[in-house]
Amino acid sequence: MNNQQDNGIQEFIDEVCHDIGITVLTRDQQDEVKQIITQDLNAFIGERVFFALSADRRTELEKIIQDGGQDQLYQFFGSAGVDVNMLLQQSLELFTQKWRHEAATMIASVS
Amino acid sequence: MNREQGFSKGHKADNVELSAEEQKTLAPEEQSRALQLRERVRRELAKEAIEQPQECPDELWGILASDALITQEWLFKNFEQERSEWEHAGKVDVFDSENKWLYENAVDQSEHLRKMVAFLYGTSETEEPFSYKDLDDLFSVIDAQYKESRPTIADKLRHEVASLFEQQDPRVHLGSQSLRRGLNTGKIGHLEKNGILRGEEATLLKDTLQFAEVEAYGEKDMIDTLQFAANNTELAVGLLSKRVGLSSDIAHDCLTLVLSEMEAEHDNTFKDDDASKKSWLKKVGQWFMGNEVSQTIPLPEKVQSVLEHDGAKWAHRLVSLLATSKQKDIDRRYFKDELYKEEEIRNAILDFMRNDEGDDFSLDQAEEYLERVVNLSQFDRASADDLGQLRAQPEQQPTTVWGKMKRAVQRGVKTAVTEIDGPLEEGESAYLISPRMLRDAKAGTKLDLFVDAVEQLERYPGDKRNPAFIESAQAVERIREQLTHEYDEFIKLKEAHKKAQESAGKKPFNGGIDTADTKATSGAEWFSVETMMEPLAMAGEKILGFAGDQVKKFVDRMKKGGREKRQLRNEMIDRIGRAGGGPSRPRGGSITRRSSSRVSSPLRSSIR
Repeated sequence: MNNQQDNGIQEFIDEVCHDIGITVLTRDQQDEVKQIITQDLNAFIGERVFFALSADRRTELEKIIQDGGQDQLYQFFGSAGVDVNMLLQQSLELFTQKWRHEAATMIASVS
Repeated sequence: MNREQGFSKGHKADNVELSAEEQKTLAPEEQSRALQLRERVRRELAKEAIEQPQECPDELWGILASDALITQEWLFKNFEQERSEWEHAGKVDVFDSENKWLYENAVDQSEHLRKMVAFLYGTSETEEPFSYKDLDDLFSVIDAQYKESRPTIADKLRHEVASLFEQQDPRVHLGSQSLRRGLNTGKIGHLEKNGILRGEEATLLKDTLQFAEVEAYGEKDMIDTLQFAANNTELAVGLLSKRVGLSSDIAHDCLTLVLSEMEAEHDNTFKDDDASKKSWLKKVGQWFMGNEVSQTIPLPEKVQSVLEHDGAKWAHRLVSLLATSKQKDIDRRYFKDELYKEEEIRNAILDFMRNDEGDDFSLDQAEEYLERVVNLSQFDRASADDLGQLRAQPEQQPTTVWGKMKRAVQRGVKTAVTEIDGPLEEGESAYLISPRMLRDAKAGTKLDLFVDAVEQLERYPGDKRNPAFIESAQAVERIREQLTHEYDEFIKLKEAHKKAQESAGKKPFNGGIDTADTKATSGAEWFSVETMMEPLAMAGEKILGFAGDQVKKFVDRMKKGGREKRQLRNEMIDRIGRAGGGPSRPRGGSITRRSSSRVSSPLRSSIR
């Protein structure tokens, strides 16, 4: 998680939280929702990237996730045959929309 | 598909729908009857949805989605009751004959209708995804049936025309429906002659139909028209004006404007032919002044050559000009130029946002306006940029509240559509205003308003004893309290879900969160579950760590968007200050300098 805090993930989560209006919640609640969002983000990205790969590439990535480090990951995406940057940008956009939708549904139910 | 097949398929799909109680208490033939009736009610619902997709979408959607079974029972009783009343009066044959469509034609299309209902319910009842083409096919079949039933058409037309008069302008929709139904001005004239439509109604309907015809003009059609104009201008103008119901001088203006634009863009292509062009215009002028000119008035040859190379572009331009002219013509004659143009909506929304003059503008009303916005935005798309340029109103920039809300609505609608069906294809935009899309868009707008209000209050620097401030703060506080409760439930739900997965020995792939994506892929065991916790999440975490610069880039863009939003809001406040005659702050000033009496209270009505 430290890594994520360093590279802007936390900032991203904060922006999402701001956009969906949960900054009005109590601090404890905010923390819990943030945790849910963070876990969801990781899963969301992992899944989207993973399933954008070909079957043999998936096995390779699985190995790297288990045993490898950032260097291997870097090398892997250098030759993975997918534009991971574009995929990430799209995924982040989709992710913000997804949570926006979730929050909109929530607020729509408030009379 | 014949009727029998239709029924059997319908029943097969419905068998699961009998409650345990029904299965226990009803005799087999009663069960079968219950299923048949239920099927019939479903068709009735679908028919209603198809007939009035714009008129009462939310209401119908609400009925369909909120409590389908109860609604079915309710309709079932009413339907049956009505039929038995007719039966009692000895006129059941009349009732049945009037519902012929329901009994026969709909049954033949039960497969389609079942899909339609599934679509409306938002379930995945059908084996194959319901496509817009299916819906279109369904419309065609139903429209074909309606052709045989004049009173129903007339009733519907009366209703829709009345809506036009009440300024619930469904003209594009109504026009295109009429086109699909094969209505033409002759048939409308017939309805008028028989007293089914009043004179004023018939005229408006004809105009509406013609407007839709302009919209429906194909590229090829217009190139042909232009070519035709080049060969035989007066006849082309005459036919065009007749076809779109515009005066021949308007049709002539549109044609000559296009021709002069062609000239300008092609660097005075026609310069050499100046004399012949003048001569051509002179002849056309004579024709318009009433002089009988029956001979061909040829255009300079170079016009032909430009058309051959760039015909499509100029054809679109001509369609756009004609559509705009037709729109203005209708507005002028029926709506005195006051038909909820963007300006009116913008002002209404500003009033709503400001809401410091009284209680007479509610969130419901704002939402009504938003629906109109959605209709208008379709209108915009239909005729592209030219409409915007030609309208008396300058094209709306997203610096206005109107623009902001319109964008919010469009974003909601587009997102919903693309998530369901991928990128939009040509023609699909007509379905953007389905009830479900609208509902999502409204929820998104409400969220925007709330977030905006919270931000405004946080930054409010004026006298916090100001009643408007207090009121806004109370509104936000009430929503906050309710949201706290909602999110509390949400958190508990997620925790329970996670625990349930863990106790079932299943490692959650995604932290216990259901997403459309994860639902679609659940069960895909690509990691060794024994050795890894939450493998997808772990993979995602590593990938995100690796691609930090991309995340940073995205965050910067989000922040920039946020800044723009704040700037828009400040501009809006500035505009309100000026429009309301209140003290205005200097351009580019910050929110801190606005008049305290202009604190908006956007949420006041939303908490009712």
